[in-house]
Amino acid sequence: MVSNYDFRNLDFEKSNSGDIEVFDRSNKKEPIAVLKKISSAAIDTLDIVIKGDVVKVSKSQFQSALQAIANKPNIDVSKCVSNVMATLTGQVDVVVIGELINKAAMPKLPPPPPPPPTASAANKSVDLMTNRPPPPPLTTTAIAVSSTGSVVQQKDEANAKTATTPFTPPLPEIQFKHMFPAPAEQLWTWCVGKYPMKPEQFLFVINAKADDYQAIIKNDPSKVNPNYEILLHKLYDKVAEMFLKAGNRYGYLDARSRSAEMLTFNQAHPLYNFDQAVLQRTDPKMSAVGAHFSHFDTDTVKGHHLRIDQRKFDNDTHLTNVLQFQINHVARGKLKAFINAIKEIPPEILKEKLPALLKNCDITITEVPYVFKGKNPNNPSSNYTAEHGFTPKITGTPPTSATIIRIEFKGLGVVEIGANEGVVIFKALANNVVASQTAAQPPGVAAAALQQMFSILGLGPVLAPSRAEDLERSKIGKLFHVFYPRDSHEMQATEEFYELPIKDLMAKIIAKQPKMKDVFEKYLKEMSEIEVNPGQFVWSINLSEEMRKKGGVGLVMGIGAIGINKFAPISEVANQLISMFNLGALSTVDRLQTGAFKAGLSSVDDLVQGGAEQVFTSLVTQNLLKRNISNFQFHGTVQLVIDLDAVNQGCYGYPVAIYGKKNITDADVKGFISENDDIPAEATKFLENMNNTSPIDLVTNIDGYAANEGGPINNEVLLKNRIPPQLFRGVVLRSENEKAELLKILAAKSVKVEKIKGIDTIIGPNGIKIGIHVANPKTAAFNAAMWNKL
Amino acid sequence: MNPTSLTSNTLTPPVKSEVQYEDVYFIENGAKAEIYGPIAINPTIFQHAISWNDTSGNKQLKFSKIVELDNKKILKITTKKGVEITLIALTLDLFNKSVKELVSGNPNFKNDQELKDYYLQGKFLQ
Repeated sequence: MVSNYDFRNLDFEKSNSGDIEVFDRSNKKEPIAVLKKISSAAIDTLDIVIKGDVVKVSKSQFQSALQAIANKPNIDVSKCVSNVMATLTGQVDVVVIGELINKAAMPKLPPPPPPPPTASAANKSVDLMTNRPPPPPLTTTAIAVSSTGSVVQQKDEANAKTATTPFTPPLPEIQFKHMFPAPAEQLWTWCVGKYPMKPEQFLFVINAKADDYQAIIKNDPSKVNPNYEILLHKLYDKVAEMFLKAGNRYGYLDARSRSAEMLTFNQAHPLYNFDQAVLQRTDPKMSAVGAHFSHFDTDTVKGHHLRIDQRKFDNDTHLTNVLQFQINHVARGKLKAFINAIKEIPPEILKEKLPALLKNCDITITEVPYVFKGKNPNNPSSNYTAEHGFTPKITGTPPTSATIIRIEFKGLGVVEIGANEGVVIFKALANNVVASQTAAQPPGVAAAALQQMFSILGLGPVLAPSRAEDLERSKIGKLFHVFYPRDSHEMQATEEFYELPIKDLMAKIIAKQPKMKDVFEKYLKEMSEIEVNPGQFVWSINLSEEMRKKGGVGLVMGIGAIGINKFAPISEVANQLISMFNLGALSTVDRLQTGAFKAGLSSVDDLVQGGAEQVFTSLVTQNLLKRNISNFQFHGTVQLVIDLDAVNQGCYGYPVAIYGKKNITDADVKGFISENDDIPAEATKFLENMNNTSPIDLVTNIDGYAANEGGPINNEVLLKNRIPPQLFRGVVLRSENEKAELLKILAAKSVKVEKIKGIDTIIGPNGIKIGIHVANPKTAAFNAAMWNKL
Repeated sequence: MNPTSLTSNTLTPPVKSEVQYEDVYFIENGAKAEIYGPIAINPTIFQHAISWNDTSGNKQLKFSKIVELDNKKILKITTKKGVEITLIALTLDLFNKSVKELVSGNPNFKNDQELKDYYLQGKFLQ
């Protein structure tokens, strides 16, 4: 198959017989084509054999171009390729064996297919951004190659209708003459609808629109339209994928490079003055948790959330910006092919084709261990190093490390992406992206350079402020995910979840799960955002009210357990507790990212299983208030009491501990029930739908399971990233002696304690109030009053 | 129950009375890893499961057989899924050889006692 073969991938050498042998740069052992009879003035056609297919090319098209090659004993590959291109195409930008767009001469098109159903409205609209007049008649010329490569023949005006097309597309192909005048929004609709389009034509059209737009904003910078820039970026992303599918790496690179320059980073952009923005957003009292920025990106970055730290590494004297975010499964799934495409492009071409801020940069791609660099625990002002850090490893001989794909843009920065292949996949890290660059860049440059790296890698417009529709999509996605986790996961694993118009997406969700209609009606309008980290906003759903109606009381978290009924002394736990009053309750991943952890930690199970991004809590219900605290399997030296409102940031959970596993299938549930055949059948029925249960129904299931199982209470309710300390309501200690010891430690650390409503109350940072309670776990239960706000 | 009161033997579920080993162990996986972390603190057997804590939380496995060896310094577990896992009581030598590179910060300990106290007293907590 030679469809859409790109000439620039070819290398030419003269053989002993005088023929020109053509090689693919990726494999120079065997020629893929032999050019015959180059020197004969009498020839009318050339037979070019490309990968077993014979291509008949007219003398007039090829002779002059190839003559230059034939006469050169030492062939300058780039020159002869460009000569071939120039002669064949009249200096067009993209040359592909296939239909060629020729600006100079455009013969008539064959009749167009019927317009796609979604095209009609947009065809009537005017492209306000470009206001471009209809293009001159389009022609196809030069060489036609069948999509299967089985028949290849010359195609020109005379015989254009004879071109063979053995593949009948399910949708009408969008032809250039329709494509060219269509507004960018219409082009996007066609992309999402998966209408066939020729990538080289499509790129030509997008380039024209981008050129027009850039000319407008060059003349009048006030005309910058961030949403239009995002749309152009996403169109380039689409055409890049088309080129990749067609095996055309150079077309792919062209599209990516143009996309990288689409976004404007002017003073209106929230990251224009990058360092200052990070500094302003970082709380000096909790700098370890970094600066958080919400409402970025369109559909790739999970939660539209970026975390940025400024850190000194190793022996550096300068600061480095470290930007971290997570990407969804669909985006992660595509990345391998994107990175491979970059790898396969010859370095000299890659360097030349990179966008402006990356131009001539050497790119190296390696897979290396995943290191959370840490500070020396005995020296808080030390730099972050691997020596004091943590590389998650699985025991074995040799141990298996978590790894990252490291893409270095030499001298400019590094982008690292968690590996998602191997013997063991660290699920909690596989979708993690970390980018770093030296701080103190000129205004606008830091963000623009990072964006160009992301664009080249196919991560999309990561640093573009989200559009209203992106945020609306995330609201809908969150509701679906919270109420029907399994159904939601299945749909969120598809590209259309991120591309369908909002109304169509809602309709699709309701078709999949009809009860979502009521959920949308009830919750969608009232959803608002809450701050889980300074600067990190998530959609809030009023789940706690419904959960309370079902009997939910609050959340608890045991701190200091070191085995079943084994507890660390309060002296060890107090430090962790005080740290939590500042930082909040952090997930394993968030804790590792602070780099301020103690030595000796071995948190890998939840990194592998996927629950490491979650904060683990247990739900206490009215019924469970009748059970002693020691019945809660995860109780500790101290029980941290957390307001049930914490669930409103979104959560999931199970009546039984399964390590916070996410996205579990029905088969996983059956497997779990089968393995745990000692669980009574009456209890098992509360597990059967546990992968598709809302937090509201979870209350009923937790009660039902606990009532019928009879063993330790080990339900788990998981909240992403962090529970802010403002939601801590109290701590429950095991004895008056331990309370006295805690009070002593708090006093030594200058943590204020006041009596409020008769309860000794810790006054934490920002005035948070945490009641101190005492209850012997073996003889006492939790009390609903422990969750009262003081 | 004090582990010294146990005789060296093979345990099969259900184990009616809780058995707790007050020690910190290195987890050696067989060919198929089911537990990924290297440290088991205070393993406890009860009914059909063995559980322990590592530095981030509690782990629990259903087992079909547990063999105590070398005065309970070695516990050979066969899980219900048929996976073999061995727990070996941690010594400084074993820590330096097999665990140190698997945990954060590559900590150094002076002797067995300091190592054991670190994990058994919860000194790894922040």
